[in-house]
Amino acid sequence: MKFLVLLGKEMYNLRKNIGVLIILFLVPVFIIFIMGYAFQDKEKSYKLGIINESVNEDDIVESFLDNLNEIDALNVEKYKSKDIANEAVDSGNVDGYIIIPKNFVDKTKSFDDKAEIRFYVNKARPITAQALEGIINGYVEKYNTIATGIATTIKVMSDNSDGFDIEKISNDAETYINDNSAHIVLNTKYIGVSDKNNSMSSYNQTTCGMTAMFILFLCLLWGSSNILEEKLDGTMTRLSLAPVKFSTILASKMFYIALLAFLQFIIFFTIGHKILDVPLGDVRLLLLLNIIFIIQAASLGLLVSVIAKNRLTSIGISFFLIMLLSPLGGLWFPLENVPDGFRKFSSLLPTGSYMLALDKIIIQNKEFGSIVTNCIVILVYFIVSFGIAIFIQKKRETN
Amino acid sequence: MKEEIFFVKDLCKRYGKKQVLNNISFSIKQGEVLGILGSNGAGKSTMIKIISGLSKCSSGEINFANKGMSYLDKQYKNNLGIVPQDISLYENMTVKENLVLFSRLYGLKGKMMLVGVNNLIEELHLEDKANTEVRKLSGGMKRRVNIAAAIVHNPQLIIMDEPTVGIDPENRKAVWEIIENQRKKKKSIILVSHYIEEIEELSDNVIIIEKGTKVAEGSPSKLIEKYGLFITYSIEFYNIINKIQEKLIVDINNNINSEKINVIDNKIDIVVKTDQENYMESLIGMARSYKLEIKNINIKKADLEDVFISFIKEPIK
Repeated sequence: MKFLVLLGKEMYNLRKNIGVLIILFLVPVFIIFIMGYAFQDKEKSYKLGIINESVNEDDIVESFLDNLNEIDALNVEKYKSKDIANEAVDSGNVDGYIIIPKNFVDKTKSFDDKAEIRFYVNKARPITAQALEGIINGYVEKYNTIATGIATTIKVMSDNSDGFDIEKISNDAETYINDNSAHIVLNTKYIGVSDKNNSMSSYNQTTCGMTAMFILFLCLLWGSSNILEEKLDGTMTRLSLAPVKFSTILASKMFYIALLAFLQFIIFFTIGHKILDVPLGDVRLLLLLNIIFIIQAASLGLLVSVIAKNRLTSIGISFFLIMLLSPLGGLWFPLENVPDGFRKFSSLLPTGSYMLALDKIIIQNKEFGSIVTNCIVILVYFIVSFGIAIFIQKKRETN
Repeated sequence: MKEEIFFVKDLCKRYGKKQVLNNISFSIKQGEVLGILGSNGAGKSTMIKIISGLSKCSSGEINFANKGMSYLDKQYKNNLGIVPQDISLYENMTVKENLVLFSRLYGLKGKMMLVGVNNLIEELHLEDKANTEVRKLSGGMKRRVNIAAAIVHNPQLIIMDEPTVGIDPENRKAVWEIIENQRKKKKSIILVSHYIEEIEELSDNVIIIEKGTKVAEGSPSKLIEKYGLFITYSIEFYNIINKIQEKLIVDINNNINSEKINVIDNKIDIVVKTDQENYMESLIGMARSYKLEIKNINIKKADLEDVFISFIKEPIK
């Protein structure tokens, strides 16, 4: 009986935290939808560039290209030169490109030579690179059968031009096919980065993603609780009675949390780099990006502490924000693997901008200019959240 | 003659249409203790919050008279020491660590600051507990440290919001001693308390606030002299049933020209003006007519508590 009384008391108290309940039940539902959308089981399509250097307007090339175009998983773009194609890879317009060389037709028809197709793929996107490579390999293998058949026919007919001996033709064809199964060779080269480790591998992804997530945990959960504890314990009153500006009090708290978060970043990336071979790219840019992200996360924590009236609410709001920003920002899974719409939305979030900028710094070794937009997005969140927090606090002081 | 060091003039505070403070004015001299009395919701806390700088007033003036400094000045808080009603200390830090921290917030530093902290610890008899974490202290000790944190920077004016709430008589006396010592040091104190005897004992001047308005001001004796023109007959019975009690009150109303009648359980307090006749015999006669056994009967002259209650309670008629 007493158990029921006490249970009833807990339930009653829960009524006063409906907002937290909503967060606790709605957030998982929301995550289900996000993850479902991110990992759709419909076949992803990849963008392939084609540079056709072959001089001859030949049926072989036309057929090769037409059939390539027919593949549902491929969106084909034609380019005139390697430079233009490289730029397209760099900007994300294509995932890779193939070059059909000048002598492709002659070599396809030649009995003694092998025709080569050069395939360039962006290694910074390993999942995409692997998938695209698989498609191209599969296609070339299939096409090899055709090309080998053509070459065999030509060879056998020319060797037997003086007489039609079906048995001899059949033996010659069999010999040729057995000795020359791969008539078209796919020569794959990785582009985009020079270091062999610079792709968004699992360790790179987890180091970056978990750094961001635990910075959020520290700044939001701990940071907001830290400030709220002062308010609830009454020490914030004591601080406010002293000749210290409220913004100074908040700034000191934010700096303290930010410092801890910075240590987290240093430790995680040091371990990642030393033990797991996670690249660092330009260290100055890496530091700058993380400082901006940390300040933003700390100001979000500050905002939560100002809004929340009790510990449960602050935990609820913090948890909600972390669970929202983490998957949407690509902290749990690589963004290269998600639909374009998802990726574009992610770039508008501080976590998404952080991951995209990190990719540019440590994987693609890009310069400051390429991450400016990402940094601005993160800074906007900082300015807005800090501004709102100060505004709310000042309004309370006036009242 | 004591110098006026702080004044509040025509202080008003509105929350929307609701007027919470209505033209409150008072001043305090150097070395003076000003007591503030008021019922719950009278506006005392609001007024203290405004004077402390934690909130803004709708209109009015708050000024350190001798420095020409208003509460909007940056240096205002340096002259003020606030003892909040709730304990506002860092529980995981020691007494000394708390005092050093708050000293630093007021701009004090170096050896002088440490000497000041040590002197204060001694003055408040906290030497044994100086290196003890606040969370391990008793309620009374915490109250003393709470006061110490407010005066560590040697402010000119100290505001104490119910400094002795929830502590035992021994610790209360200790706090009274602190207040007296500060007074001797020519510090001015605004003391907000629900303990009438505390206000009566310590205050040079008292103001009574009711529904956001100052209704009375003066020294305790002057207030009693001016507003305490009544005496209270207090009659207590061993046992009295409600019906009889109701009849008795009707009789009292008919026979005694009373200002107020308060009933608490078996006790009836009858407040009459001092210029009335002696009703003792009448009361005893009435009680006997109902065959009631009297446990206690006495006459009490008005004190500050009675004055205060007269401003806040409606009479039973």
